[in-house]
Amino acid sequence: MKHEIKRISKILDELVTFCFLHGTNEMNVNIENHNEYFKISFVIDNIDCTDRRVQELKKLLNSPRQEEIEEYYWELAGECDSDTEFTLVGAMVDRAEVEFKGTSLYLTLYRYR
Amino acid sequence: MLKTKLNTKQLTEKQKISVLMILPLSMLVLAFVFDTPVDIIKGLYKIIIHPDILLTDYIKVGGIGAAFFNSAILTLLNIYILRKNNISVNGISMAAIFIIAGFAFFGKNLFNVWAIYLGGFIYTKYQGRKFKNVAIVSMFGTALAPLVNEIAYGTNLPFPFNIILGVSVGILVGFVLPPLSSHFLRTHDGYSLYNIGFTAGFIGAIIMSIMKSYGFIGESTLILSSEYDLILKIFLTSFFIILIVIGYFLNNRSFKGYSDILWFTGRLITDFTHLVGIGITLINMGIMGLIGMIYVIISNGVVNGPVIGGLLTIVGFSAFGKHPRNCIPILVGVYLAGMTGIWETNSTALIIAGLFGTTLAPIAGEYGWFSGILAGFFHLSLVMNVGYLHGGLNLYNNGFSGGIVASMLVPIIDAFRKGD
Repeated sequence: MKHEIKRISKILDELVTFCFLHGTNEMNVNIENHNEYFKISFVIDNIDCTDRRVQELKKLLNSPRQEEIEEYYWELAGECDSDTEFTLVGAMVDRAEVEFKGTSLYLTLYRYR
Repeated sequence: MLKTKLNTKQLTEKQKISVLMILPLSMLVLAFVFDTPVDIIKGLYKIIIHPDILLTDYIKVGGIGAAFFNSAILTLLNIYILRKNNISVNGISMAAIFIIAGFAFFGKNLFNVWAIYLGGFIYTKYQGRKFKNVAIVSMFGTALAPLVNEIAYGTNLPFPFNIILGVSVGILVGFVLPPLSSHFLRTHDGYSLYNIGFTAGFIGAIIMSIMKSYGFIGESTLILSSEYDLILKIFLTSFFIILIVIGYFLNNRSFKGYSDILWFTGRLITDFTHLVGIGITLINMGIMGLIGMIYVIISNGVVNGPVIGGLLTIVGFSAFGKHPRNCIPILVGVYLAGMTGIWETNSTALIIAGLFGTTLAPIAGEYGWFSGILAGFFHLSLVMNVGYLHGGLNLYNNGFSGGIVASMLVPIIDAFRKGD
């Protein structure tokens, strides 16, 4: 897919913005570039779990990959510092594992090539 | 809220398609109620060979039966494209279908849209991808369909060169739209919902400038009907109520959870079918249709082709970002500008400026009602003047204006905000 690397960067941009907007002080990011997929892992501390958007994270990220939405809107990801585009990120990834442990959030996203 | 969503009935793709088909099938039936098959065919021919630059009301050009038939068949064919390409019925695809149904009353017809799709198809083949990826962009991209008609029938080129050139330019536009539309999103950061209108405005401006450079005289038209006002008001109001009733039943026979939708800013991308469920989405679409109709009635306007386009576009985008809280301030802003300006408040151009002006709904959703009114206020003045640039080639003239207003206004509003 065209601009594949840039699209991964946009997903990261959106996630980093989201986490800082919702109380995070520290996050650890790991990105793996495999032949068949990209794997993005986040460990995020002190996230505001009472926030409605944080609660909906699992559902939004686990929506089916929608290439028709991604193709049109991918450049919007990470472009706004007050609103977040998790519907868009959900449309850009194939699988998401979201786990809350206390105030920490463990997030793993898979995007197949 | 989560409980409400879990209780909401989920529809299969086939059932969602059935809901989408209510409008075109009812228009198809009405076409044969109003006109004979012979009149419909004659009217359709007139629609197809007529230059379509803004504002050309197909009800006036070809008759109500032919206009209904054109919209119904075009909508059904686009629903088929969704199904054939396994594109799910979500907020964006519903918006695309309704915008086609609406603009098939003033600019999109069974002849002039296909070159745009073909351009999109060639783009995907060139890039080695599936047409599915750009199908939605191509559907919206038919905003530039009048270009095909204008070159084919509005110039003095000999046959068949006029047709070949018109179709070729349409294909070229369809080819460049997918990358351009994605790029232009960043200009307004998703604060104007009709992004293709913004993109198509620039493309139209360039093509019209080239045409004018070689002696073409681009003149906007104003062909409007008024004789079917009451019938169309009854038909559309009934359809909006049907949407609310279907949504009510899908939402476990209640309106519970509707207030949740008002919480969203509406900025691209806000897909209500995914965020709040199909039941609440349909209720919102029906309510927004009724609000649009009330706006037309308050403005003392007549329902004709362009106004149908405005109403159906509002309904479609009410699955994809619009709701009463973010749209009413825009309508108020446009109405106030109309009252204080030099335009007649009941003119079709002014009424559709209000209806289509709700492309700026995310500004009201994000920055509040005052900013929304301000956006609507600026939008009217701009939309009444930007048409000159593309000479009416871009059907989404309001989308072009809305994109410019959002690109300018959002950073300014942001500058007056303190802190993050």
